[in-house]
Amino acid sequence: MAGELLIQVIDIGQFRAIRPALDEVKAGRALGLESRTVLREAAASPFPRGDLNFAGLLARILRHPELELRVFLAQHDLDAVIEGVVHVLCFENGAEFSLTTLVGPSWVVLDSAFGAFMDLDWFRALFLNAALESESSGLPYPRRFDLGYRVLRREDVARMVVGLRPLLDDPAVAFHVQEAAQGIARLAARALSREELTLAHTSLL
Amino acid sequence: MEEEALQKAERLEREAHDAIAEFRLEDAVRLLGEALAIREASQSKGHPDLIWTLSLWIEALRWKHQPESALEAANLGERRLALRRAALAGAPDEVTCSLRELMDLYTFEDDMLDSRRMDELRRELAALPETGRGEQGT
Repeated sequence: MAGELLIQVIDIGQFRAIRPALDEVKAGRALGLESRTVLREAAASPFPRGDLNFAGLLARILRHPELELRVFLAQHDLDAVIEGVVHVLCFENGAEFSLTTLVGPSWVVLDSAFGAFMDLDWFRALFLNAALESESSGLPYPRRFDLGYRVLRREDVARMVVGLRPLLDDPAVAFHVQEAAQGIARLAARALSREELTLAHTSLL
Repeated sequence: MEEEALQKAERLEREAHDAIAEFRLEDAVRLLGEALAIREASQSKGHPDLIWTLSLWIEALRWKHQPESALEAANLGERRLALRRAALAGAPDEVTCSLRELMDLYTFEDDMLDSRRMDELRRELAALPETGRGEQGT
């Protein structure tokens, strides 16, 4: 197995909008009014209910606006809040994905199909070389150790759509590769449907 | 002079944070030891700013995942709890969360590192009024 790559649609406009709030959470000081509004919005979304740790952390922060976060929370708590806020406010379906259903409505996990995609020049250029050559494609949040998300430029998403076409129609392509290609094509179409959307990818290893 | 010292402590804490993120745990522990000494000297041993330094230090030790480092983290957790009791006097629910965190620190894998202390913490937790027990968020 060459590795596992998760591809999802991200609202990069929303990410830019909440970035100051994420910076404030990272700093661990008392949050300003606008940052608390962002956290309240995250708490009101349906997704935190499935993550008791995240929901509990949001409730604790919002219950004590007067306190500096670093007094009652640890670094891993702040990281969990940042990750949860980005997931629920910037990704579709709260960034949900599955390792058993590799192609879902808002995600594609390249697992056994990863090797086949790595044989494609355009895929390596967009997902591997671009990531190595450009620090700017990396999202500053969330980050866990060296792992984080990278985002594609919209022109790269369009280039990817062209690159995927031969895989979609070729009967010689293995079923699981074709299924992954169809899933990515669907995510790409969704990403290109609105100016503020694009694709984000991260390693699951 | 004190301002310079605090800036240095903050810089060391940021470097330690990056070191933890890169799994350079020995570096992180060294940096945090230095940051704590600076804060103790310039702010006093009871200053609430020491809480963050201790939290980062505890995090670095926990990632080492060794019984000895877990016990060291629990000892630092005791000191952090004492500071939090003062800093969170108006937020009893958060003191409760801190008690639970300390109990977690005394647990390494399935073992209790200090069962007598765990009993004390359990009793303190049980004696807290319902309103002060807060919401378990960690």
